[in-house]
Amino acid sequence: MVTWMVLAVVFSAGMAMFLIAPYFDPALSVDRNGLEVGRSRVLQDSKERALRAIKDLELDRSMGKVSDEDFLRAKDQLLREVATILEETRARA
Amino acid sequence: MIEFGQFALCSAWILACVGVVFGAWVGARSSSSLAHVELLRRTTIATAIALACAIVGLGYGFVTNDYSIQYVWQYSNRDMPWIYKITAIWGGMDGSMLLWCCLVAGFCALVARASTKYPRPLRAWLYCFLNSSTLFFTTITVFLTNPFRYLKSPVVMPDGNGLNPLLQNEYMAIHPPMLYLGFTGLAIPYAFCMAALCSGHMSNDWIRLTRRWTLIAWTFLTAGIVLGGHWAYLELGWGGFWAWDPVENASFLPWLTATAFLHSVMVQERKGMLKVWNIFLIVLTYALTVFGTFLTRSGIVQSVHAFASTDIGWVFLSYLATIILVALGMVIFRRAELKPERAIESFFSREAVFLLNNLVLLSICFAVLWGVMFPVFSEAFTGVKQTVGIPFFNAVNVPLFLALVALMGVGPVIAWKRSTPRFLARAFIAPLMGAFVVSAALVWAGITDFYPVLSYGICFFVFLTIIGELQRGLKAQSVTRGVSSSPPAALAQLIRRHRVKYGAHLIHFGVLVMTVAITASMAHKVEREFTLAPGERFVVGRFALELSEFHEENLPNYEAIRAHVNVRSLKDDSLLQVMAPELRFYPKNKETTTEVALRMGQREDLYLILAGIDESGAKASMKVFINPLQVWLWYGAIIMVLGGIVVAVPVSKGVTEKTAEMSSAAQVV
Repeated sequence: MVTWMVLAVVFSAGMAMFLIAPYFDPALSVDRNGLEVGRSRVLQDSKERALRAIKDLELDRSMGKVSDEDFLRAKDQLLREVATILEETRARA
Repeated sequence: MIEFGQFALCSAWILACVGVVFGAWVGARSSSSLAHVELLRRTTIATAIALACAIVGLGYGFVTNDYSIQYVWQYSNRDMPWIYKITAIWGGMDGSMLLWCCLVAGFCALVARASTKYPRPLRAWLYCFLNSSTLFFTTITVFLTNPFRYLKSPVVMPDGNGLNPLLQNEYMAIHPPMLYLGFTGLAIPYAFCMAALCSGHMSNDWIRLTRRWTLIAWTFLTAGIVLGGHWAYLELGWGGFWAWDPVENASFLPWLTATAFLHSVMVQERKGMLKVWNIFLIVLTYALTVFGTFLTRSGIVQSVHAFASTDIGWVFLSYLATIILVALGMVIFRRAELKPERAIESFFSREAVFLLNNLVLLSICFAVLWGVMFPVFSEAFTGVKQTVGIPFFNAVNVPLFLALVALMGVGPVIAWKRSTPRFLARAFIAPLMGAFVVSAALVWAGITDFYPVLSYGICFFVFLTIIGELQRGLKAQSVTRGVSSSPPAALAQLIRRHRVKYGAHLIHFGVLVMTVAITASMAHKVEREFTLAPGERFVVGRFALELSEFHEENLPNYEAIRAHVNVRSLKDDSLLQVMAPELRFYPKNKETTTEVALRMGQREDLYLILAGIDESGAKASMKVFINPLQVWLWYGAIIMVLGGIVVAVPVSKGVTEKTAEMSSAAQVV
């Protein structure tokens, strides 16, 4: 009986501290800072995804699976995406 | 520990409630503090921790033989090996629901952990819907199937009933958790989809994230289904691995729709089409996992896998209706943002083939669902319960599956938007001719049945298209990159640079291997029944089976009679193996089971069952199966799972080499 009550109290206290911690984190109290959380990872992921898509697109074109017109349009779109990411990365730096 | 387990379970329920209600509140406000979103993220993780504590509490009850807990008393006894005491946690309805909660919360916690980089408008609603799945299953566990209930008895029982003998098998340690990982993982795409609809964040971000999580769940589900087939093959003793049992079908239905989604999502990513269709597939897949759970636990269908009949069916049906109605309402609300960006221009395009693939998968899904529900419908409308068996499922599904396999050869090869006749001829004439030659050779060799010949022909066609794809890829790589390395190195480079593409080919190759194995085991199976006295022999296929002796054994958990059978080669009478099929009697469960003896080989499996001993105790009745190429079914499944891992695991290396080149190109743009 005592054991489980002690466990329950420790468990509850641990959970409560874990849950309310964000309200004592200054980085999370301001929205602008909050938006920064993980943003660089998002940009990195998006850039890699776009580059990978370009490589797949190039392979598809060289295998005759995408017409030249479609290839140019899709590649242009992906390059614009990369350009936007690079611009934001530079601005953040 | 039982009290702590109960406390942790109730804590999880409260946390999941907070996650749903607070998530909806934060999601509905456009300018909430990030601390609120972080609290929601932590709530999702905390729920998983609480449920993990609850399942540890229940496991502790099993390991310490705490028969004051009704569930432990019902599914365990002192003589069971410890591994079966652990597997008994999910051996019954209550514990399996707790495991389900634990796994769904675990998946939600993993998403929450990775979610800091997800688009912010999506996050609050994402946590809300993640927690809604956990909340539903936790509500059932806390209020209807609580495994922490005390046994209603004036004294604590000295021993328990024990686990069903059929479940006392090593595969039960891994098959249900793997299957549940697949089922529960499919709650994640649903949460993403609903979060996108509710938040209005309808860019392609959510669909990309959804694709990876769906693939992870799909890989687990594939492994779980095949492990279940392997368990049935070894344990049930009927010589097969798949009987179109309602519960097997229940696991297969979401697999079909998830597979359809994994194909159609590519069309949305690449072409901006099929947006509503993809939402339909995601919601249908999740609804089918809930429906499968309902089938297993409501008692409306009879199956060796089903849990005892309970009255929780209405809860599942209510939740099912809620899922569908909410999704439908949100799709109508967001219909303007879900308009396709383009239309399919030609039937000879990859998007058209993927759509066809989806229609075939959904046709199979409908046929299986119809077969599962037919007894229920027939009883409702005619008052007589009529069941449909294996012949119905095979008759409907075999042609559809073959069409699906054939599409598997066309889809990855054909061009997007439109394929020219020249391209089609270059890509498909050689594989078609190869398939024709193989089919003709099989007919010449004496295989004249239509479906086996067609199946082998289609498999060879698809195999050649995969080889052709690799060849064209290697050629394109050497032209564009101008690198001439050795063929294996070039192949490794090609696969490394286009993991998703060639991972998918690996999955398709696994399907091919499985299809050949299934065709062979269905079309060329040998089944014989015979009786032998010690010293006598029976000839089957290229084997002679010789009974040498009986052996009795008394173990703490069961009593066994084992027949020792010498398997000799007909060619030179050499001893190949001694097989030992068993009959087991479990006194505590008062049940008799057969333990199959299996000789696995690359060419065929020799599958031997001891059906019984005659009254004099001098003769054994046996049943033998020769299942050609059976082992390749398991190899094919392993290849599929490996392919799933290749596609699902993110790797960022290899992309950076192009960054500088692309960066400058992007600057120009």
